[in-house]
Amino acid sequence: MSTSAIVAPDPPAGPTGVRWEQRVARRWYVLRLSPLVLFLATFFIAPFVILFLYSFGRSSIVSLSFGANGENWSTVLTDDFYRTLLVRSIVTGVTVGVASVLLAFPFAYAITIGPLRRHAELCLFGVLITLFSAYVVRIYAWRTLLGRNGIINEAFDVVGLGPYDFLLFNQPAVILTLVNVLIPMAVLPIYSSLAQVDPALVEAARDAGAGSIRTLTAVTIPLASRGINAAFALCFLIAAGDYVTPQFVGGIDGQMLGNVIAEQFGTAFNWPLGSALAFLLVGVMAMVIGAWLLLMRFFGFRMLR
Amino acid sequence: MVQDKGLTGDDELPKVDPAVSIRGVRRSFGDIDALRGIDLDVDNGEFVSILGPSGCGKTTLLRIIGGFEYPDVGDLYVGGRRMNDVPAHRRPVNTVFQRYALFPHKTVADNVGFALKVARRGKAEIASRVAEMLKLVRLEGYERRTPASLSGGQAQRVALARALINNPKVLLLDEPLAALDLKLRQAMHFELRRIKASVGSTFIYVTHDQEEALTMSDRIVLMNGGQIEQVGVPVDVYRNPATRFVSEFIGEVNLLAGEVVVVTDGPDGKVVVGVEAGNAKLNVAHNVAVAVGTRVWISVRPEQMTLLDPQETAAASTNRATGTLQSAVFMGSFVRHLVTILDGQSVVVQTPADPQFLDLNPGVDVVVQWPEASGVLLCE
Amino acid sequence: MRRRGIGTKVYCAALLAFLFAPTLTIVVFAFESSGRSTLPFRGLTLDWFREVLDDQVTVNAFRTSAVVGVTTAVLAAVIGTLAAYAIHRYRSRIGQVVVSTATLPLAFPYLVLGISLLSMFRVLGVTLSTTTIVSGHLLITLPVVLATVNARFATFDSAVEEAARDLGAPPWRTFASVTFPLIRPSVIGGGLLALALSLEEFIVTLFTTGGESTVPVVIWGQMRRGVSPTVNAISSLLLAATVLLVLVTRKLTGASLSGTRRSD
Repeated sequence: MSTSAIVAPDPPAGPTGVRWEQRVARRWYVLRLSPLVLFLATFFIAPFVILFLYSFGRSSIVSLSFGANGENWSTVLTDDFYRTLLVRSIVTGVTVGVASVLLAFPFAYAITIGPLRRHAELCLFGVLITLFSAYVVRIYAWRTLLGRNGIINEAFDVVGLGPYDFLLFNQPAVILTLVNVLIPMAVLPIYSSLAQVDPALVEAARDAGAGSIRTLTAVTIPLASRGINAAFALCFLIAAGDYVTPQFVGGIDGQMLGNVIAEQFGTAFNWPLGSALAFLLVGVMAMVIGAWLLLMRFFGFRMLR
Repeated sequence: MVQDKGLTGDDELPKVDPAVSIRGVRRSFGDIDALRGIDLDVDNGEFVSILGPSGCGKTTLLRIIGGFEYPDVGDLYVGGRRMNDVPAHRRPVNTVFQRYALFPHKTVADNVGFALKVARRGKAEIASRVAEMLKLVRLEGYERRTPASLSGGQAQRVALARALINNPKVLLLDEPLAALDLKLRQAMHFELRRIKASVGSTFIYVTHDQEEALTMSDRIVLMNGGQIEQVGVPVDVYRNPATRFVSEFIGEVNLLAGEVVVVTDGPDGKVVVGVEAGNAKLNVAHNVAVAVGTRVWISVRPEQMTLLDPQETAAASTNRATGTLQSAVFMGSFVRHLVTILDGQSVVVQTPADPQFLDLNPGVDVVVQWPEASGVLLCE
Repeated sequence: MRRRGIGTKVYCAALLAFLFAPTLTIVVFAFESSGRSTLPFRGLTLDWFREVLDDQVTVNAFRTSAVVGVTTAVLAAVIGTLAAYAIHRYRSRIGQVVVSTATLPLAFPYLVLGISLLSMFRVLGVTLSTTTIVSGHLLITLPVVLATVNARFATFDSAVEEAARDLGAPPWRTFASVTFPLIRPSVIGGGLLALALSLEEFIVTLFTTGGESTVPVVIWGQMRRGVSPTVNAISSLLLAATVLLVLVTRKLTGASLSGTRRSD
């Protein structure tokens, strides 16, 4: 029963297991991750850089070239024509974003906390199907529906009204179509974050005496703010940058910046200008998103009081 | 202050290689030191339990032996071969995981035979070995079952069969019975020893249940805070705990605080240390002399103590302490008494359920007595 | 309380109707015999479908869509699963950065993605072909596969992988025998979603397509020339394909969208 202390022998000299497994693990890691990294570098990063460089270039009828030409940017930033289009694009985007979120929220709420909880599966499935219904097809559908001979006008005809030309080929038509296409996009993230809200919190608010509306604004919405922001961002980005919808249902009044950009890369063959326009659009969109986030946070603070 | 770390010999490796040798192993996770210098030898064919509370590093040590973690510093040898740079899949070591980790998409037979399939053995050989293993764990005929359809105990046994089919030199078991209910666990204790006897591998068993360790092990390794506190056979660890942690962790114990006042020579080359604890003078046998004035603990097991009437005379070589009986609980074959002695310290005394112990009422004065040889001196 | 319930339910029904209406009308009129895509409904016919399948250009487009779609799906599944597995086995902040970067394309208008790819292809002198189309599709489908497979790995118990290694399986064998079988439904699910996205993808494709067109591009082309009943038929076929894919995916991943998972 000795109580003498036994000192551990000195650590042996030479390589031990120190971080050996780390080196091996790291090698595998790099190997498995590299296809993705290479792909992104080649088809995402590089193209953007090249596109950006183009914005300083020149174009003529037969050729494109790079350069240090600032003309495109000055045109883009000062010309009224582009500014109008930019504003229209942003306004459309914001309108569509807000409308989509407003319309999607009650639906998402109903299937998470509301009365349709038990049918969440089915409802989401329905939404998912519409999400995957091809975008082109839906634009085509709306053009058909809203047209002079479309169903809506036919329905008016039956009661002796119409036909109404104002349904199509203008900005509201664009907004309507985009909202229809993007509501499913908004439902998913909002649903996702509402589903994570602990129903016990909502109960607690009700127990504490908050009415339905107050519970909503003070508790539910702030907790789901992540999803709401994501939904808005998604819808706004797609809507503001869209050009196919305006092309088919927008008419002359409904043209957006996207159309002009697409033209530069099509018939107009002025890629540098198109590039500058594209980056302008992206830049402004980023600012709008930033503003939205600030706004939401501001409201959040006020509601929590 | 550690006893018998289980090293056989000095710092050289012994002639017959132990099944597992650990030298100076340290491992940290960020700021946390999981292992602070472990040295241990496990002999071939032993059943060694690594026992300790949560967070003591026992699982980390097991994982290092298995190859799922690597030491920061130190060496690991299995069967005399250095394993530091050998990945898990090439070690002659197999593991039974705490939550079994059966392959959910494979049948029981495919689970059990997996190691052989990887080693490219023939179908017939695999089938017969699988049947053999299932028979060993008493699950004959379960080949086609799926893991999802098994009960906890059955899954446990499949995991065992799966790990043993390769005849590993060492089998590691990571608290495998933790999820089972008491009766099943106790049955499995016997099963494990039977299976081990049949297979002949070395078993290294991690647990926080001291009863389990005492039941099954040839030797117990007690770990606390990343270090080994004691290694020994169950009886030894129980009777002669080396540290306060060990005495408190294994079984129930009374710890009496005091200060050394005198050291005299005793029989068999030992010394008798006189300790003043509270108002009593207690003697305890010890191997080496301890400086006067050291603060110490005397550890005594409840069943080593007995109760006497204050009038009775003291026997030779016993310690006595007067006190008041607080409570007495009848436990069937014995009685547990809670007594306050030595101005404030409480001790638990376990006596047989004889008549003189059954009549005692709370509040009465008693004398607690135990032989000097029963106490263990522990320095802090 | 009950009254409010009804109001909400009506709203949801109305919303779903609003969402389904446009595509439903297209499908309905694909079978309508007068071909005017408007009421009244004259009669049923399969003529438009026959016309579509007789038209060589359209049939070629279906084949191109299929080739592009399958290629995209397979590549996205492979690259995405490898990356997700890498992150599952070894935690590192670089991994998070890579995944975020892979998801970034979705934050840009597809128009911008299209023109950037076009710019690069021109600079590099690459002729546009199905390969260039696939590259564009991969940009938008990789995030989907990554999300699906990552979600699967989040609920994955690595103890089985350790068990496999413990029993002697080297890393590659562990993946093949244990990991992959368990994540396979999600990989396939992600791949099918990628296929569905690829089939309907249109904007990026416009800028990266050479001579061949995919089905959405053909639809677009026909739309520009005016309303035609065959467009209804083509659209219906496309819709059928994507809806089918979504159905199969849901079945496979076993995950309900509401987040509950089939147990391991």
